[in-house]
Amino acid sequence: MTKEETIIGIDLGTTFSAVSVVKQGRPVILPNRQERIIPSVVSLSPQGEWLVGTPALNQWVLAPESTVRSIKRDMGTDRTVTLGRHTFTPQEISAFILRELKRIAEANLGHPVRRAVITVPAYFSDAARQATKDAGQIAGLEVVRIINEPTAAALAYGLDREEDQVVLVYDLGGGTFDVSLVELVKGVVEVRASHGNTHLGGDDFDALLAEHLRQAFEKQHGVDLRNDRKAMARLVRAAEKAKIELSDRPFTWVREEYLAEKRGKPLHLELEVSRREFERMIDSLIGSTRTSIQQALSDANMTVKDLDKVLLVGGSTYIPAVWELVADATNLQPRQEVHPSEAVALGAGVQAAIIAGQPIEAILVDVTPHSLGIEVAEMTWRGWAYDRYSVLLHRNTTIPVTKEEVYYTLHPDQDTVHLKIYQGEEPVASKNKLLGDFTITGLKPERPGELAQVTVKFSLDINGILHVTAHDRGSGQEKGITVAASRERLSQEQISQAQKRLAETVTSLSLDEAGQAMVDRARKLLQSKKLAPQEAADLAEALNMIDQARRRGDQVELDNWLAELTDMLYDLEE
Amino acid sequence: MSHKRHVWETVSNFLSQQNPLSGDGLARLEKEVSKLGREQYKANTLAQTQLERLEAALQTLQAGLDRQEAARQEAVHKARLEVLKALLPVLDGLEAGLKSGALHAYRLYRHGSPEAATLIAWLDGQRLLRDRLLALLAQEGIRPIPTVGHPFDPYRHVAVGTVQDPSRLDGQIVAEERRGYAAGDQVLRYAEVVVVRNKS
Repeated sequence: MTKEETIIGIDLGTTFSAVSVVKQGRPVILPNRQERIIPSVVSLSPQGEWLVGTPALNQWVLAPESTVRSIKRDMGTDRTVTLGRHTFTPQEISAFILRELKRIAEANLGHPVRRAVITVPAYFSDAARQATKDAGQIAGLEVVRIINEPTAAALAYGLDREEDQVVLVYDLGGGTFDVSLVELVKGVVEVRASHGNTHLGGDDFDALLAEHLRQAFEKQHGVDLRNDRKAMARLVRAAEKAKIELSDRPFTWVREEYLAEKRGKPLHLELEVSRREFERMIDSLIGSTRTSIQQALSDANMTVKDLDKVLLVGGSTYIPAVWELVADATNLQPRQEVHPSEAVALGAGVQAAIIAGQPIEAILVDVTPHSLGIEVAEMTWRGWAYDRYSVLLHRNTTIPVTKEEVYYTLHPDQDTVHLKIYQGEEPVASKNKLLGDFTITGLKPERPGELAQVTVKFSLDINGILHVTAHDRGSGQEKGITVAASRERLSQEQISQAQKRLAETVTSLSLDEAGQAMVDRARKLLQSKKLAPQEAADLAEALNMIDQARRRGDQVELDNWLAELTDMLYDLEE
Repeated sequence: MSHKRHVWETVSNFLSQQNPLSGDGLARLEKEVSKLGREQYKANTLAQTQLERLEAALQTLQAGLDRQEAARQEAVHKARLEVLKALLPVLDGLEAGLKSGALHAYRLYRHGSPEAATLIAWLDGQRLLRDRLLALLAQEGIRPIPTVGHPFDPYRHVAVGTVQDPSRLDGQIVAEERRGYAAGDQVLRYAEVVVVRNKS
């Protein structure tokens, strides 16, 4: 493939954009130095300099009248924006972002790029799609195809190369939410229905958690931080960090020193936030996405039973409660092994490679092939149900990974817990494969009369070695075990495909080293063009006969022609 | 060339066993010489290809090693920056503590409290602590981004607020709300600043 034929894949997002390309059979994000994604922001600086990405976002507060954000929402409309003395269409603003992505791609690849695949939301109108195409053209890119974002996600997972299926793509990002039903038939991907909320995402969750922190601070110190811009900015940042940490563990500490002062006395915020508290805060917001799933299903005249797979896209899908909600709403184990924030851009890169005729391998990421968890007792309306399986690491989780969950003793006076670690998918613990067990004793509740809390941590490393520790919050003691989780990386389907490929390779005779040396020498001599026409023709004929004898598997003929070739070369060269 | 010597040794051996005057012997001799020559030619060709292949493999290996070393160094540098970047909020806390402590010391001093001197000495210790941390960062080429008094630069600063101040130039930074850090031209954390904006 020549450099001129390179096609890039672009995720032109509402808040962020990214560019990717297939390298050595795999799609990769092309970064802008440290940034893997750039803000979809365009700005004109007071000095008249055009800014795109982070620098443009940086001057938003200073010059909001000459900074444009979320232009994607206006694509396909005749709205215009005025920056300085210039008036622009949404296409032209998008072109600024596309031109920057083109520049990033060229800086990474080291050669010019002229063609691109760009993704758009499934609900985009024809006018909005055409506008996106025009934007590409203005930026100096031939847009070889516009594809839907959920389609790109399916391509990133290589689903076009699997059997026909119906896939639900659940995309919860920083500011927008979409759910789409995608049907794949003979490698062709079609979006059957799409539903969503253009103003819902991770930023809303951060704001809720920041408000919780603010209230806690006010309750403790009697100081309202709402008019303190600097303190509020710190709270939002602390909230985002806590949110991310709570995806992997049940508790996290928020520590913000010298957040404010009261009568000359410095005030600090030190607060532990539990995952449960955070989940309660965002419950109604993420609950609304369940309705969208049902709406999309009914729009496509389908039910949950028609679904074969569920893919999670967007950074907010890292939140365990989102995973649980989607699993519960679809009765399927959602997959998210391709980096959720990058899946759409990577899928655009895959589509670009398909059009360019580049070979593509599956995106092989290391995942755990089985779920891993422990035996627990669950409270049901009929009383305690024992031998239940509580999963800490779901199957298809990208490894290495560490997850923590908190469990409680059954009775306040229980001071011992026997931990049994299982691998498998059965809801009844003992029907899974027992990997190991250990006992932790001397448990103490944090307050007398309450249940003791044990934090169980599962760390699965790249070699499939599982480290399990149990930590008692009351007594502070910790105990652990290391076991090997079984790890098959190839599915049955992949194995049978590999076997088929192997069977297809025809067995032909190979040359010994000396024979190969003579053939190489003859080829070199032919290429050197030092030979008379007749000599060259004879030599070429000998090479041809050797080739045929090899393919026929005729060893005698092969030896004869090799001897003949040696004679010819000897006469020609010595 | 050793292969020629080998050929001639064989030829002289052959001659000593044969009657040199016999025509039949001469033809056999020619045939034998030619056969040996071909064998030698084949062996030479093989040896030469093997040598070429070895050289090529060695070159590829060296290039691979060079690339690997470069990638390793890059990864080490990146990892160090990541670790140091995680330390920045700790440094922020120290700075905030110093600032708050200095205010308090000033108030004590104004009230003529003897505690002021003690607090100032204590704060000096904290300042040394901060300076040690800053020196550690400087060793990796990480330095605070200049802000107050400088013009706003969207490649190094984030505007978080504006003020009207006709006595100052538009775009000048008047306050820093969060210190920024850069290693050369690579920004680790943007400086958050308040900027003069007189035009409406």
